[in-house]
Amino acid sequence: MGQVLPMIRAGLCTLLTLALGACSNTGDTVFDIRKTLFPGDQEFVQRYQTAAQAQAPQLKLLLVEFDEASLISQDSVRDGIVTWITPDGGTLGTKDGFLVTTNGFGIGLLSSDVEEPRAMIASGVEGPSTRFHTYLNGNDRTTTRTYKCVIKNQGFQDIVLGNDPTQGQTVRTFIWSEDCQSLDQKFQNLYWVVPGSNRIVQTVQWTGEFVGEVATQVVP
Amino acid sequence: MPTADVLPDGELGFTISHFGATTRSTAVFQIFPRLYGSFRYSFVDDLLGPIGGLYDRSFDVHYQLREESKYWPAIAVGLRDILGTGLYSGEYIVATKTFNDRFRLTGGVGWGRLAQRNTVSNPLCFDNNRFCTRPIRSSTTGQGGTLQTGNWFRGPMGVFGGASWDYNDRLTLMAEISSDAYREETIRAGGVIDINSPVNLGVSYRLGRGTQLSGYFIQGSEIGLQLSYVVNPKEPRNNAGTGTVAPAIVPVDQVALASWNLPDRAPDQPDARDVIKTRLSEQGLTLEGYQIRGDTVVVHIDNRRYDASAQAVGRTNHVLANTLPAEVTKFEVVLVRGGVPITNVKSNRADLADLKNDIDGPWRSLSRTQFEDGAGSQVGRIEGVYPKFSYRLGPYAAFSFFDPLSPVRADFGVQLRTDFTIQPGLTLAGQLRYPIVGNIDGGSVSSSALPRVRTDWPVYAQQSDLEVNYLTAEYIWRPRENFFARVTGGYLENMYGGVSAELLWFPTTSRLALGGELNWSRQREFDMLFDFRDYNVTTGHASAYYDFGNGFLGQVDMGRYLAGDWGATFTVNREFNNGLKVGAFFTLTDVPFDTFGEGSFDKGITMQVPLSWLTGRPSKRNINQTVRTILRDGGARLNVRNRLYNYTRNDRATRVADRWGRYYR
Repeated sequence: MGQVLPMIRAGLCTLLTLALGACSNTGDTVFDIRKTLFPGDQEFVQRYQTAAQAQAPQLKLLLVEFDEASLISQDSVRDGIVTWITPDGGTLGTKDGFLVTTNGFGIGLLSSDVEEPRAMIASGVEGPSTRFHTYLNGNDRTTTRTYKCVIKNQGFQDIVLGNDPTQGQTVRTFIWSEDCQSLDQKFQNLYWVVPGSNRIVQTVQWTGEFVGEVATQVVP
Repeated sequence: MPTADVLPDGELGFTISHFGATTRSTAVFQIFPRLYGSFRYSFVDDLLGPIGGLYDRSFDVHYQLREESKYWPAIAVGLRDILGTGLYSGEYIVATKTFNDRFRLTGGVGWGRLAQRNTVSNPLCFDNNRFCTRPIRSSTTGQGGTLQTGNWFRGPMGVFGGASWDYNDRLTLMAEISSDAYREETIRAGGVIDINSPVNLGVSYRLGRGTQLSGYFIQGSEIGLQLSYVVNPKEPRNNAGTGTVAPAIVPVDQVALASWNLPDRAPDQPDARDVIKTRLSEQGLTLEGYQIRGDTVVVHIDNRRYDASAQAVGRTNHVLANTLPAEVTKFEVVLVRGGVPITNVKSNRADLADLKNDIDGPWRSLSRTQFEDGAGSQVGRIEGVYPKFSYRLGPYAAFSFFDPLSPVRADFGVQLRTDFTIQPGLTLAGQLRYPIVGNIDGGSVSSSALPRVRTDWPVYAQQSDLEVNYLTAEYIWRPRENFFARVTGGYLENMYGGVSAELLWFPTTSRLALGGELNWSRQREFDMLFDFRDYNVTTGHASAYYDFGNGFLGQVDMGRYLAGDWGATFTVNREFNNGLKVGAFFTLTDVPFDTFGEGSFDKGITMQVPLSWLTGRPSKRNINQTVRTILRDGGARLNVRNRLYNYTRNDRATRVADRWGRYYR
């Protein structure tokens, strides 16, 4: 029977080949090309489904330049870094709301050192700061860049958390801006911080040249 | 008109253009920051009068002598059609200067084809020396294919110049005075192109994603169109890739509480080894061996998913860290291919988590990792792994280039490829193809003074239906540390069957590898099934491989070829770290150029594009294409699968370390 099943599968593949292109028992087919040609055809990975079914905390995520929105679920927490997983298996890592790593988005923000801006915003201090990003590029090389930034409190703003603006939860926040630049790159991050708790409930943060800005908002 | 510009280092450009009776397609590769090479394939309709049009293949090289500076222009020298029959043969020295970022002026002098008008005397010409005249090369006779150094920079010089202006980021306007009078095209067959003026005008529009469309008004009479596409191999469309990522690292104390690590685990519950096997399988990896020795776990893994072996090692270490109890503090991951251990990657468990979010994590983790040869690594074999059967059924495309009657021929059909690995190293493999549509069988059989070891390829296409491309038994093993060995027997390739044996010395951290190969082969029958023809030959090569460490790989193969000729093949590849490869090779043997026939000697360019480069998802598949100017019988080598250097290199330490950036992906 063990010998027969692979043969039946191979037979079915013959038919599928004519209809779809290729099949294999090595899990590596021209379907990969199809996924590239039709990226909207998302597959919900098991890890995401497990997190969603466990009703893990979620974040709303928007890839600003691609205008793609999704709900991402908390996957794990380690050393203060929360890993969030997207429906198609990419991850974001945040520390107290600050984006520190991305994986599987095409961009490779391998890691970042955001201790200085994190401490300044947590303690309500304006002024210059420094952050470091390490990127993985398409040639499998890593580069670390240093950014000089200026942190400012831009004042109060009331924002609505939740999917329905009419029934959502209105929260009063301070907006903090972080204007950064290196020799050839420039970006602005924004953080909506709840006074008192210092909890960051909404952000717009730059992930690197490939994906650009991502916006996040906590799901109440 | 040439300019002194170069492309960014490593970029590839492809162009197709048409004007008058001429259609040209060109591929350009920026080999070094200052040097690019290009291959041009042109068709000039009716150039040969009643015989028809002329297909012309030509190679150019262009070297930027100095970069543009604040006051000085960029200066470059170029050689056109250095190997061909001479239709486009010419040399130039050119300077280009940019003003206000948008306006560019170019001026230069040319020889040969670029000195057909606006000529001045050659400054190297005095006392009627050799630089005063340029020997005439016929564009339609001779074998071509050899360097014509004797012609370079000889004869009068033509003066050319031009300007371009970027109206905005997308639109550029151009004007030039050309020293190319299209003499051959205007003289032959009553003129296949009208020439009224030396002035060419052009406009180009950048469409985005490296694509550009240009229109030209050439020589006052002809309108031309050109489409070009430039791509940087270092910047694939999906950048660092998409798709699922490595598992999150679970704290050790939580792992210790997992059911398989508890002392009172029920006998029917899976143990740590079972869990690792399942979890590796979810990552596309096969656990082939497993053993715990004190504080160290040794696993053998077969990686069939990740083109970057570092990523396979990273995924394995994530799985081990999330499964094994805290007492296991050291990981040894042995990369195995076809059951043959290749490299042992040793790391500390604690480093995996400690450095994962470190700003310099990949580099620091690499510096704490040790690489050793995988030979001799003994572990408990995982039952049920062998025999291992894999198959792949799908479409295929096969191409043949530069046939005189049809420059591109292709077949499309269905292909079945199977591998049956009976035990580690011992594999039965086969590939069948059934062409459904195509015209490769219409290729013309050319004459050859040598045994027809390759030039019968159209006959194979014509007389075959179902093709048995190969059907072999192969054994690969490690005779001792740093050595690999292979023996392959059966129907080795489309045209030959026989036996092939190879030995390779390749220390895991070495840039140098040395190998030897001996083959006895017999020519297969044209139906590509199971019969043989009379011709048989013993061939073999001694090979040296060297990784220069800057993305360049050199290879020299010296020995005997299929037609019984003796010689050597020289190959240089530029390999980008992500696996995309562009290379060139040539073979010189004791066959005289005249006997070899058209092209004089075997040469060509190769390209390898990883599927992952196209899709952004990990894959070990590559798309390979070799383009020869012409396939002849001299310098022809047997095509044996799984030659050991390429079989093992991706898993040797140097290459694994090169791609360590993907360790945490």
